[in-house]
Amino acid sequence: MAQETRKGLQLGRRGFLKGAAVLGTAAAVLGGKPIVGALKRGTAEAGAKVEEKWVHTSCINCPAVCPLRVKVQDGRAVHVEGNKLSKITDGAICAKAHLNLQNLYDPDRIKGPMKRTNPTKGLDVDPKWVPISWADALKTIAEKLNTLRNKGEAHKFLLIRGRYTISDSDMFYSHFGKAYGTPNTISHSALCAEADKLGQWMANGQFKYSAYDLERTKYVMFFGLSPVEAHRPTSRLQRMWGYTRQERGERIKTVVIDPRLSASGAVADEWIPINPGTDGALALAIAHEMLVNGTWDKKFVGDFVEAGKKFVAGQKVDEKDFKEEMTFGLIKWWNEVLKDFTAEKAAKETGIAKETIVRLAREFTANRPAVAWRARGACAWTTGAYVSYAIFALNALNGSYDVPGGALVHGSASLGKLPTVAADDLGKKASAMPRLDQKGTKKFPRAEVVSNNVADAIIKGDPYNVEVAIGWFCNWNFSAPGAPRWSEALAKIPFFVHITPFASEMTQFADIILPTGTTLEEWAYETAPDSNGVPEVRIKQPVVKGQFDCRSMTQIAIDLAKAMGGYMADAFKDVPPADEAFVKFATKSLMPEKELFEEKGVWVGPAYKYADHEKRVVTPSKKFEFYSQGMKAALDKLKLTDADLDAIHIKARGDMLYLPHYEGPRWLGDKKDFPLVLNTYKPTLNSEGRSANNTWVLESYLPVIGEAYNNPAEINPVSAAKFGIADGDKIEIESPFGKITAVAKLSHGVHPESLSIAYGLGHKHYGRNARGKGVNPNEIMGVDYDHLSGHSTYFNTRVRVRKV
Amino acid sequence: MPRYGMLIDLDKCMFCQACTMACKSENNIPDGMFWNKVRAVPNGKPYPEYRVTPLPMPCMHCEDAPCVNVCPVSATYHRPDGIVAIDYDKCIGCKYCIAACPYGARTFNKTKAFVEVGGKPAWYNANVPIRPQGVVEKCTFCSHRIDAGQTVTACVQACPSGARIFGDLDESNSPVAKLAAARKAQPLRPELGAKPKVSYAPMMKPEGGK
Repeated sequence: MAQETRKGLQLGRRGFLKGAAVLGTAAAVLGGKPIVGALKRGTAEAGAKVEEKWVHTSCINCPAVCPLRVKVQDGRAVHVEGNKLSKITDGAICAKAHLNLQNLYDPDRIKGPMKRTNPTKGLDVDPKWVPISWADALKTIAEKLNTLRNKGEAHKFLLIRGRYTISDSDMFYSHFGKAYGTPNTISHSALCAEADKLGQWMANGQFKYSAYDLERTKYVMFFGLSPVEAHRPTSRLQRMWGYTRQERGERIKTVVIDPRLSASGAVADEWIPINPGTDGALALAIAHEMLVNGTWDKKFVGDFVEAGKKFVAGQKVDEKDFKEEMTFGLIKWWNEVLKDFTAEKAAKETGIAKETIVRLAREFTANRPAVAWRARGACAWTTGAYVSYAIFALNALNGSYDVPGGALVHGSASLGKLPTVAADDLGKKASAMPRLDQKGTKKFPRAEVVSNNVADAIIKGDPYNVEVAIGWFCNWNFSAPGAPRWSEALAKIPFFVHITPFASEMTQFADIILPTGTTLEEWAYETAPDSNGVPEVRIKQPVVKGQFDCRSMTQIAIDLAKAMGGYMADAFKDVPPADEAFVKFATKSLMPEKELFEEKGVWVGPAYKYADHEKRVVTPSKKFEFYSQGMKAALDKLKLTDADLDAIHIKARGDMLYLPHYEGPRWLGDKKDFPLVLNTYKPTLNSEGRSANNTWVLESYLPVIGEAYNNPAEINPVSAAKFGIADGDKIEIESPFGKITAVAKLSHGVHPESLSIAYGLGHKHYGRNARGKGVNPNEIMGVDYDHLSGHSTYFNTRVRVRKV
Repeated sequence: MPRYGMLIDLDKCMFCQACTMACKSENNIPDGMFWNKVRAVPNGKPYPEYRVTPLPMPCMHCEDAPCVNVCPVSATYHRPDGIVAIDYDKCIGCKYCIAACPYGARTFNKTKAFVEVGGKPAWYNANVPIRPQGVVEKCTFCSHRIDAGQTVTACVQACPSGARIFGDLDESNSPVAKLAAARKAQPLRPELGAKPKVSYAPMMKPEGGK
């Protein structure tokens, strides 16, 4: 050690002498101003002139796609800040935005197109990659696609979309996919928030994320999400956390309901641990309390015709006796569900004291505008869409709908659209074929997509085999529940192209890899996700020269269509010839090009107009529905029998099918044999998995439990003692579907019936830093759905543990 | 001459680590080292009363700084604006300062930084030197930014909730001085007598919610 120190010192002294010689000129140029800094020894740049500029772009480390300003020194991206012109972020960025620097310069990125030379495919099999040119790669893919299409089998082409820019999606997923004719454009959405969306759709007809007017909210109950850790848009939620607590005047109250003490639970005013999968019961009891106490919002919901009438627990109400205003179906909801859903009943389900439930209902109504906010922790369960519906409906019951401080419906921006292409006969025939994911069938009655079901369709070859697949920014044999099934499915696809900046687990099964850039190198446009109601458009442009021989997704779609020739080239003849031109074409109506790309980086839409119900409530009754006529129409059309409903594990019958109700979790694994519930969560730095090889991420991964480079199995000490497990023990975690070995971490922040593991580690691939650290809980997670929406369940797998 | 200090509002901090990431990027911090780590302080109670509080820990830039007092070669010193700085040319790597610092703010460069990428990463900030092997380093309150005329540190700029405020403690109208007074902000372990210039405003209770 002493020698090492000494050596360092000597090296340093030499450096000092060298540095001293140039100190006199140590002034760098920053917009004409000299930087006088600590430029002494240890940096070769001491004394050199540094050309510095800021370039606008936007992030892609989560769906918030926040506008960024990136500092560039001598052609290198060196620092990231937010864009103050954004009304959604107010100039804030979250920790994830900084990671773009490490992603950009990651030494393990894919440097050019590659093809496999080993025909055997497997997660642990070396594909024996060899570099090929873009021309050769595109030609090979074009031939495969043309052969398939010309055989009349365009439906056997699978296009998988993971994270995407809106321009990628418009160009590849929509324009390319539609022109080719495959019905199988499969997004990751049903691994994300489809149950949440469907809950809102039942209420107001809007199949999308919810927006909330956080600036003006006085009280928020968060059901199954960690708003400042892993919810969209993170930057806005984090900015608002500070604003609503200490800047605007009246301090907000926040309540986080979650079986695990998340970062948000830790800093919220109240953390309420709940029995896993029972959020719906809590929401219904709060609704019950609001009605029996007469604290519902009479202006929005309406009132009894006759003054003095009341909701009494257990007693039905005649529909004629109540006049609804902006809502539809309250009395049906009361009579069928709410009248018996007392706080006492919910206390038994949720493990939350009856007094606490009563108090939450009182606080919620006494602190208007108050918001009930839900996400996958509450909804990614069997019958989770009904849970989403129940929680979302609380906002209407409380009058917190489309008013200042309430739940909003986010506006949309209008961008230049690509010309629609008339389908040819091959396309028409293929697009009429049944989809692989069975969306909209009796199995998934109101699904838009069933992402995870595609693996089973491929494995079974049902309804047909997949011949060619292209996936981009996705890693589903790592990120989907039942992850190993995806490896099996991918190995079965004769020709698979993976478009990605990093060689992930999914890339292992590719026949050709096309490298795409990271967010700091690409042309794209984005629309802001649902947040404050005001639409925003953000742009992406290369802030530095592309690192390697990469192309953007948009460019790849254009190039591939051209390489295919014939009908596909024709379908692209009116498309701008390059990604930059396309992005500028689509955004040109917003403002002059120079202003958007050089000066502003963001387009902000018109201010939100509250209570614009005609636009915001698009249900059959034109009212906020507590009884979903949209769902009734959808299910009626499919003529579901009792046996059909049994098969998709829905207990409700009759009117109950269209009402926010609670069925409780369906477990994968018997409680007796598998006493714990596997609970997984996404830490902020995970960035939807795209930061897996970042050292900044690994060394700060789990701040709440103080863990780095590892994701231990977090167990309540009381439960751990029952199983003879001590802190730091190596334990085997077994579900009905497999086993993993992890390190036990005893934590009082975990529900006694839960075993919590952070998602994101346990990689076999993705780069030198990612490999071999921690575990991937998705390997032992069972496959199940909220069948109505097709959303994968993430939390209903049971496990047992033993010390190894 | 200003006397720089920082206030960290624990009512706004939320474990997000944006400060940590911005600091790594701004100050060319090697893997495994931190100038600004967010620590977790548990309340010691069992489930379900268990809670942890985030505690971001930069250098406290103490007025009576133990690190300055013990440095045998005056490599660690107070700038006129009160920032505790290290002269990497003078540091002999004895680590007395690491032992003396009550806040664990300092790290020793045991190995040469960024060797795997030829001595510096492509994202390095040319305005901040990469520290040589054998010296101690820590948070500088982004003195290179202050010297270039900027008013805030990288962590303050990056904090999305606005939990950090930086400025002149002697100017009674500065936001940092005003807020420190209004919120009765306290430094960590004041009884140690180091007179830290980073103070923490406590977590608050909601006004409504009854």
